Amino acid sequence: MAKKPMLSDLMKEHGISRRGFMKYCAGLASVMALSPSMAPQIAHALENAPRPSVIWLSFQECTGCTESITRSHAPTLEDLIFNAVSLDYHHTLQAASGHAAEAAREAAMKANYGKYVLVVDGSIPLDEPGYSCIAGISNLEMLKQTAAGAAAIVSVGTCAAFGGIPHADPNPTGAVGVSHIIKDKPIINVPGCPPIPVVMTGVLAHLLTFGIPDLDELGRPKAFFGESIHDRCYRRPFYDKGLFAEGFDDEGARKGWCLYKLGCKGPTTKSVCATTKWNNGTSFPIEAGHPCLGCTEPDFWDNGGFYKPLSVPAGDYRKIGLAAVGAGVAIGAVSALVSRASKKKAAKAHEAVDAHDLEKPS
Amino acid sequence: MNNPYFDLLMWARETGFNIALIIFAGGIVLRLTEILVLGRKKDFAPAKANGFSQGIKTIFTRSVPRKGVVKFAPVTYLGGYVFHIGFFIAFFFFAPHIAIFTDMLGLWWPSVGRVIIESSTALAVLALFALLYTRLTDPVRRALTTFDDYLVLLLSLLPLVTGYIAVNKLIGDPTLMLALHILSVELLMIAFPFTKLMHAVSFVFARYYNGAIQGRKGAES
Amino acid sequence: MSQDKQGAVKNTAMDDLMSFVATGNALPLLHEIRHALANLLENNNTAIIDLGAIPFAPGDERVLDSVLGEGEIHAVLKTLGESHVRETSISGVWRVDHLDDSGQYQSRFIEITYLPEILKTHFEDATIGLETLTKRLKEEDEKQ
Repeated sequence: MAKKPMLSDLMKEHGISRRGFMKYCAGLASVMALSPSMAPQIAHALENAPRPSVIWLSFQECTGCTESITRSHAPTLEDLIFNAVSLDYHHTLQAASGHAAEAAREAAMKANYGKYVLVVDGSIPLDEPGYSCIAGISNLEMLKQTAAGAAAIVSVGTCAAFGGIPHADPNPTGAVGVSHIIKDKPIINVPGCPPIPVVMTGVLAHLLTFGIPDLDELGRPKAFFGESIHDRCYRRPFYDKGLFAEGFDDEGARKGWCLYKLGCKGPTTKSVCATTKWNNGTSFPIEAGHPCLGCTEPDFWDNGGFYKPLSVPAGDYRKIGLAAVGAGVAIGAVSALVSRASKKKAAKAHEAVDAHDLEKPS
Repeated sequence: MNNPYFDLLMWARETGFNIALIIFAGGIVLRLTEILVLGRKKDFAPAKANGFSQGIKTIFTRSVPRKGVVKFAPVTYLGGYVFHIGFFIAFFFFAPHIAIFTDMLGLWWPSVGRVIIESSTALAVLALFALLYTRLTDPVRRALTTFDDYLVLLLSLLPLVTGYIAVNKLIGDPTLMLALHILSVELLMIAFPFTKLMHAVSFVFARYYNGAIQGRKGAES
Repeated sequence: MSQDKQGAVKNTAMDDLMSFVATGNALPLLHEIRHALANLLENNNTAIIDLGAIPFAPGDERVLDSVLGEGEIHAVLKTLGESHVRETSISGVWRVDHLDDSGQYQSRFIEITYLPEILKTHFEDATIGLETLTKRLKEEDEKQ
C-alpha cells in the first residue's frame, strides 16, 4: 500500500492554512471536552501521528450511527477525522462490495495486524448465527476474527455497546453487545441511539492523539459520559422551582418547564446532549419539548416506559392493589367476626364464682 | 453488559413496589376492618349528650396539646410536630412524589420548590434525632421503649436521608441512590401494618372513639 | 405574544420570553473573565474559556453580551467556514467564534489576551507566502 499522507499534508493539499489547522484543533479540543489550551498539543499529535487503519463492522444495526457520524457538511470535523484515518472497510461508505470488499478487509487486517482500530456498530445475535451474516460469515465469527488483530475496539451506539433495540424484551435473537463477547481487548463503549456525531468523532480523535480515554464502570469515556443530562439541563431551574409540564400541550410545556413528569430520564442518564447538543449545537430532545429517553444507558427500552416518570412504580400495581384491598377487607372481617364469636362463646361459658368456690380444693 | 444499578431500580419500581403495596394496602385495610367489625361494647347507661359530634370534634382538637404539656415535654411535642410537618411537606409537595399519586389515582396538586423541600427534610431529620435523644436519655422513656419504636424511627429516617442524598447527588451513583430511596420507602410500607406506624390511619378512629365515649357521658374529651 | 392585523403571531415576543431562560452561569463566567484579565495584567498569563463546555441559555447570552459589549475590532477569518474574532468593549477580552462551512457554530471561545493566537501569521504560512510571492513575481517578470 502506498505511503499514507499525514493529516497536515492533506490540509496543505486542500489549501487549508495553519490558521485553519489551529481552528480545527481548537474545535477538536472543545469536542473532546479538553481545555482549549491543549489545542497546540492536539495539533502536534495530529501532525506527527501516522494515519491508523480503521475497520468498521456493521452488525444488527439500523445504520443510524453511520448516518449520525456522516451528517455533516464538508469539510467539517467529521470529514477531517475521516481524512485523518484510513477507513479501510465500511459497508455503507465503501465503493467495493461482495468478495472485493471482504478481500479489502482481510488485506487491511493483515497489513496492520495488532495496530488497526476496530469500530463496531450493531449488536451481535448469539442464538442463531444465521440471524445476521455478512458474505456468509456470521457476525459472531467476523467479530472474533477481526478483534483478534485489533489494537482497540470502539463500540459505537447502544446496540454495539449494550445490545440496544435487539436486546430489548424478549430479545428474540439473543442479541448482546461487543464487550459481552470480546474480553481480551480494550473496548471503548460510545452508546447513544444514535450517539452525537461530535462524541463519536471526539472519541476517534482522542484515540488518534492521546490513546484510550478514561473510561467509567460501563466502559464509556468519562469526558462525554461523566455528567448526567439532569445536571446540565437548561430546564433545571424549573425543576428546582417546582414548575413542571403535565402534558405535551399544556401551559407548562409551552413555557418550557421541566419534563420530569412526562417521563424524562435525565436524572439517571449520563450523556452530553444538554451541552454539546445535536446538529452542530442546534438543540436536543428536551429543548425540543420531548423528555429524555435515556438512550445511553443499557436496557433503556425496558426501563419502565418512556413516559412514566422515574419516581412512579412501573409494574401493573393497580390490579394488585385492588386485590390486596379486597383481600384485606375480607380477611379483616372474617378475623373480627371470629373474634366476636369466640367472645360470645366465652361470655356464654362464663360461670359466676363466689368466695366459697374459690376455697374449694381444685 | 447491563447497568446493575438500573436493574435494582427497576426491581424496586416493579416487583418491590408490588410486594410492598400488597402488604401496605392489604394490611391497613385488614386492621381497619377488624377495628370496625369488632365494634365497641354497648354502653347501657342513658346518653347524656350526643357522642357523635363530640367524637368528630375530638379528631381535630387532640391536635392541640393540653395546657402545660408542651412545657412539660417540649422536645417530644415540638420535635414531633416538626418531624410530622416536615415529612408531610417533603412527601406530599415534591413533584416526583405527586407524579406517583397522579399515576395511581389521577389526582394533581401543585408542587413547591426544592429549597422548601430540602429545608423540610433537614428539619424532619434533625427532629428525629432530637426525639431519639430524649428517648435514650430519659430513664422512663428508655424503659418504655421497645424494638418497634427503634425500628419505626430508623425506617422513617431512611427515606428522608436517602431522598436528600439522591436528589442532591451527594454520594454514590445517582441511579443507585434513587433505587435505595425507593427500597427504603418500600421497607416502610411493609412495616406499616405491623408496627405503631398504623397510628397514621388509626388516630382518626382512636380520637373519634375517645371523643364519642366521653361525649355520650357528657364529659370533656 | 403580540399579533398584527392579520392575526399572525410575531416571533420576537417568543424570543424575548426565551431570553429569560437562564441557568445563572453568566455571572460566575464573567467573574472568571475578570480574574483572568487581572492575571493577564499582573503575570502575563493568557486564558481561553470554552463556551461550549458549560450550560448556557439565551438568558445567559443576553447578560454576557450586555456586560461585555462590542469593541473596536471585528476580524473575519475565512478558512473551513468563517471565524469571527471580536474584541469586546472590555479591552483584553476577545470573543472567538468558529463557524463551519454551512454557517453553524462549531466552537466558541472567550480569550483573555493581548492578541488571539489565531490572528497572528504563522511561520509555515509565511514560508509558503514567500514561495508564492516569488513564483508570482517570476510570472510578472516573464510577462514583461
